[in-house]
Amino acid sequence: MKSFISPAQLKSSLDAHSIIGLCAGGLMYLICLSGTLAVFADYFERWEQPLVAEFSHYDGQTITTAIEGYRQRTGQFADSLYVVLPSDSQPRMHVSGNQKEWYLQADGSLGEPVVEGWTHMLRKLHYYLHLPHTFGLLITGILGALLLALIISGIVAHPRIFKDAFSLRLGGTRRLEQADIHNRLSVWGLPFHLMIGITGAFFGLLGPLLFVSAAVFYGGDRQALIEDIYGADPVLDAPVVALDIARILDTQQQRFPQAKPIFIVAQKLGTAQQFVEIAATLPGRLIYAEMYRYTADGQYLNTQGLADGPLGRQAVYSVYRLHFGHFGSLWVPVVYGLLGLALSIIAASGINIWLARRGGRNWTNDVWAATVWGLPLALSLSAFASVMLGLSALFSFIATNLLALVFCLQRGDEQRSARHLKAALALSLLMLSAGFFLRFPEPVAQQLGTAMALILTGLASGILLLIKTGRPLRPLPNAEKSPEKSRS
Amino acid sequence: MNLLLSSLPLLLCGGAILALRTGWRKPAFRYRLLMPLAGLLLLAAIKLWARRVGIEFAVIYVLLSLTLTACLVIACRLEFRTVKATAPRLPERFSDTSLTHKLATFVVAGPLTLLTACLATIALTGLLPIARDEQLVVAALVYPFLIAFIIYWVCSSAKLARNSVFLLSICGASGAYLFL
Repeated sequence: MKSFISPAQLKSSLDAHSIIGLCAGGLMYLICLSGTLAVFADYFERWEQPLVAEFSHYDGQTITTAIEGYRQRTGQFADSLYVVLPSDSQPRMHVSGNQKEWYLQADGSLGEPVVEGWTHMLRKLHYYLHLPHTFGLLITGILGALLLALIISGIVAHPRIFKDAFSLRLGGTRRLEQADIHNRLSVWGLPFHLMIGITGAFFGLLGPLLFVSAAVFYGGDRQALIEDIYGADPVLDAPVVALDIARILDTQQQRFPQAKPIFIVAQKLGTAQQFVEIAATLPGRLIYAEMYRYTADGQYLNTQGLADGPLGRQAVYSVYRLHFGHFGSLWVPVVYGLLGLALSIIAASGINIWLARRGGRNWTNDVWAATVWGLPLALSLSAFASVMLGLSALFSFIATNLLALVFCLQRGDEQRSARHLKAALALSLLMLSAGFFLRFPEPVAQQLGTAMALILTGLASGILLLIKTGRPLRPLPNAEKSPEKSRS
Repeated sequence: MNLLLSSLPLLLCGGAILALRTGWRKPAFRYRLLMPLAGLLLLAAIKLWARRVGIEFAVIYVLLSLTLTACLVIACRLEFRTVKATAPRLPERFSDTSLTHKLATFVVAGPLTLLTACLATIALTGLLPIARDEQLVVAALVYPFLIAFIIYWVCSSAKLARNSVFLLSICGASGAYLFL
């Protein structure tokens, strides 16, 4: 079949693919790996604080008690006070507002505070790379756009990529092996990669777009623009009455029996503008939630129109679930996790191909080995440090990464360094699963601990298998000569 | 029965992949017939899933299942070659000149690309005959693609100066249209 692209165009596309991949490779790998884990953030949060009461039943009294408990604890109502309801992935409730957050007991009284531990660090890493929020979000958005650029240039640069879609050959030279893995995972993961790239870029690049659009069309009034897209809040001016959550929940159940509430927001409580919103998912709809508005005494006001409003508003509100796989049963996050891992492998193998094609070795090989195996090790050790020892997750993460980097550079042998980092990762995962039972010996924590221990042990076994079945190591430079020869 | 019904779309996706695998790049007519068959199986899977969970989720489920089943099929037919060690060799003169130039291209065109794509997207979607809020949503979805295409174009071309001038012109024209 005749190719529509000239050899020169192919070469320039390959150049573009290489250069974008080289520039974005490390950060792309970090974002993909952290995103893979972030899909399970709800489960990690439960595992991190396993002694929190878990239940799925609540009523109006539970929520009223929670809101009153928050007011008593902080001395005031927050402007927007959230009560997050139990869900399948997180059968526990918490109340939050003004950066203060507590888990709830089954009766609605405040329990232990929500710890900003390892899972929090993981989320921030994926969203902002721990940079200032606006800048970090922009960087992650750009990485989403770069993922799209890599997809486009990759397809153009590899005309055979679809022809060989079903063949995977391991072994041979390292470059061929890595290229086969890279291309196969890229082709079959294409819909997922596009989905993640577009939605990821959407989150990050919305900021500059809104900034310029507000300046052009709304005289610099960003709030007006946001209200135009997402819908405006109701403006009330009514006498302050007591909050009647039970009536609100009853009305909600009667009017919208299909909607499943996920959180409740008490807005501007104690003022003439107070109202309550119930965010609820709808069956068969990808939108994050529809917001149902009520007055404080339980009269239905309206919806925000996220489920039946303008098409654009519905599309914008569907992005979150699509990106994070927060829908369906447990198998959806599992598949997202597997495909996220595949995307991480694609990012790693891309650079591996470049290193193998370049030939020889220098410090970049060591830095890359430290990145690929140091990052998961840092994530695992930071979880251990944070959950088991109560140390800062971010500090442990950065320190482990630096240590891995120094270790690889000092070693100067990326194959052996990678093997040692893999072994350390397997060991740290086993430590993490065992350490949990020492840290939380309470019977209530055993179920979560056992489930996580099984997963972590499985991962550790997989890594050990990878070490065992990996390519043979190059001989050490001083072992190349036989003892006899070196003596002579 | 319920289990069978719930796993039927998954089986259809698997069947589609197997049909694709069997007929992949085979010129005979009977093999070529397998391609539309795979398409029909996928449509049937979407239809079945849509009845259970709605069309929005059905499309996503089919795409995810397709990827997973394809990976399984590939893993089942994994081939192993004899491992060949790449001789450890350092190039006689390993120079970063070319790479440095490419990196400079990328760094220089990066911020300009972001700005140009932003202004051009808003200017172009502003011309669409739809409501303002809809225009902005379209812009938000088009913007990443435009950035991706421009980055690809800049990185695949050796003419950095020409590309920069072109981008600056688009940026200037869009800016003038929007702000003046």
